[in-house]
Amino acid sequence: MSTAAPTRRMRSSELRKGPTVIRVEALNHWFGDSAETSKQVLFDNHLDVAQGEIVIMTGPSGSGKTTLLTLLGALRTVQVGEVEVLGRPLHQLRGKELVEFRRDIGFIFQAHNLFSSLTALQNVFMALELKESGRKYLHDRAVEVLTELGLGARIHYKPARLSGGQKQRVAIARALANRPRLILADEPTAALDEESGRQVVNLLKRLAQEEGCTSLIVTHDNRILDVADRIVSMVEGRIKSNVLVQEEIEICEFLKQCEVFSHLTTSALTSIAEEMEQETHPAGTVIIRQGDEGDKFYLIKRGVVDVIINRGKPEETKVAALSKGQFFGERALLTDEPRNATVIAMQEVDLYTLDKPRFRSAVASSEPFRKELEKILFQRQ
Amino acid sequence: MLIRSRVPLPWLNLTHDKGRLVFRVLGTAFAVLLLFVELGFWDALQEAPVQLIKQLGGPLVIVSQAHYALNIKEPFPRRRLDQARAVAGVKQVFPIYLERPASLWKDTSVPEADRSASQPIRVIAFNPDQPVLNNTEVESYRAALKIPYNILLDRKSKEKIYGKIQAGINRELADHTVHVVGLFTLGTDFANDGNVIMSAETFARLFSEGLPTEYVLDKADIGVVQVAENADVQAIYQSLQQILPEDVRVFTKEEFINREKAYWGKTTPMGFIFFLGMCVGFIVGAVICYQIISTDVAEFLPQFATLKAIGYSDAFVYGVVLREALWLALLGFVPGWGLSWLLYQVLSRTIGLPMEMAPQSILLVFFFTILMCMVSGLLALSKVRTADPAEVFG
Repeated sequence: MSTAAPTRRMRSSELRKGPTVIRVEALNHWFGDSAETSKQVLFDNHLDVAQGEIVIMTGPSGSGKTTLLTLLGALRTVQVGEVEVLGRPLHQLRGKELVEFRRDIGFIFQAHNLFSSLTALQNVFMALELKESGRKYLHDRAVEVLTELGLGARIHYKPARLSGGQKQRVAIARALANRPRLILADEPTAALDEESGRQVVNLLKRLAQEEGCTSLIVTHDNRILDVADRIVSMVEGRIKSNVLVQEEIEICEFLKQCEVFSHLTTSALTSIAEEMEQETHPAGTVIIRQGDEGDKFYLIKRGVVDVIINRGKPEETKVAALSKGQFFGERALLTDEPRNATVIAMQEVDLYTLDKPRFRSAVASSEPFRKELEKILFQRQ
Repeated sequence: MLIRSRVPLPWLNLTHDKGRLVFRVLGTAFAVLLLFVELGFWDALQEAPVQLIKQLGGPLVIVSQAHYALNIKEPFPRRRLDQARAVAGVKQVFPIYLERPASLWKDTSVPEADRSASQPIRVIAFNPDQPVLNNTEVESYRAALKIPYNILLDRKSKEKIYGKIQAGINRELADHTVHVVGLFTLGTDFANDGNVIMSAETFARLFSEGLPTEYVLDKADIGVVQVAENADVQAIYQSLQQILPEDVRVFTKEEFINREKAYWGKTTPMGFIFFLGMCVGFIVGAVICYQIISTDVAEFLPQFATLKAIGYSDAFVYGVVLREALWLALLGFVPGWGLSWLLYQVLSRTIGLPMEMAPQSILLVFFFTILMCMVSGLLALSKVRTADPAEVFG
């Protein structure tokens, strides 16, 4: 098991919000009992989710996203790798501890799975009773959460007398009743019409903003992608991409403003943005040094850097100061020559970076991008 | 660990669908009915033959050493009763004479051509002056019985076999004309379809087969021992055992009853058949209950998996299923009991067997009903075990 996690795809979440609530390290998982029949369904997955994030997981069916969700919810035992959720190392918990851990999570299932024998209120009680036993508290809290979900007038209805959307909202009320710090949802909106689905995701968003409640939603519903802070896409048991949506939008905006990217299509921009990582450097850091081999392309998110070229003279010559929206480091990547200048952070800078292979492939895949770069290179010379 | 919940989930799962509830309750009630009826038959099989013993007018009985069941004639010398009479504390000893194979009853009210074959009827004979039976009705005919060929007829005797059962008629018994002076109540059993009481005198005349009547009465079938007031029955019982020769045995009434019951319940094929019937009733009942419980478990499997997924222990979910089974047992038992009571009334009227609902039978059936549902519940748990919380997703 590699402890040196590839950090490339993980833009460190600490930059954005609160502490980490989900940490997945080198997670592998197999289905099947015997060695011959077992089939690997998760391959070396890494994931960090910060408190208050809304993460949407997408991917074709069978890609392992639901398996990952069940591992995060302690519904399966971790086989290989580490899973830490809400500060509890799930890979070290067994049996009863796993069962008890589940009480801290709000589960929303695709099928509402309400007891047809119980009223909405009683269905919510079933979850509440796991944590509390006071009769008055149970009643008040159940009424409160059902009312929040617009079911105040139907608390004594059994599922048979509720619409599909209402049933799903009762199930959501059951999931939210204990004010979980983490919600794991599987296609929560699949059975709902657009308006009901919207209500559900808005509620999750509000919980995230007001109570710092983290949500991880497996969905194919494109209508709700906009609430995501992070979109994790899985293919064949691997997390193929993991992007912070807001950041990606920010990068795209940046890229559009940059002359070199201005002619790119939105999809080309997005794919470049997806590949980019974030770095932060304190003032005075030498970001690249003249004569070094070029390994990254840089875009300034925040702060100012000085570009200094040593032309053999005793004093170094500052040739430019670059700030927000400007980029550097492309030349060495295109020409395979060593760095032709040194870049120093003049204040704390946030940078978006693209490594050499990805930069080259972006250039290769986008004719306008290549032309723009060539043009700019020509001008700079 | 949370095992019970404020929400009466097992009860609600069982009862929420009223239409199905009716079928469930009736299904279980049917199983209860089966148990009650089979147990009732088994009980009746054992209870019916001891009705006579219960009416005996003394706490101790003497029978032949070879005697093993009331319907098998094993007489012993009457002298033994005189010997018993000598024991301190013994007030009186009365002989009882029984006859069945030779006592053929002929319904002479039916023209000879239409008459079916003569049927044996059990004859119970004793001296009418002696309080041999605790039966006020019989006692009231004491004087009438002393007249030869006067008899009493058990009103529970089967009319199908013996014709009209009523007082004041003349019929033929063992080729003699007898006069029915009155009726009494004893009841039939699996060996006897009717009973007749007569004096020992009449008995001797009917069954002497040409021998002197004294000779017939020299051999008794049962000796009834009456003890003095405040006498120690146990001590007398022991003295009798010591004093009487090997060819007879002494029993307390209770021992004698239990021996007779054991013979019918355990030795006869019928006893085995009814016992088997009870077992089958139990199995059929368990299958019915299992169907009900497992249908519910199958229906609520995703819900049970969800309960596990949100943090309920397996034990809690098992508890929900088992408590539902318990409720089913309780709900089914009450109407099953009621229906069985009705059926007992009907059966005891139509077939003349003592179908009685003794408290211990009710307890026994109740216990078996609970056991039946618990076994079904436990079997259904294997399904619950497959409720995988991880399957709730996706």
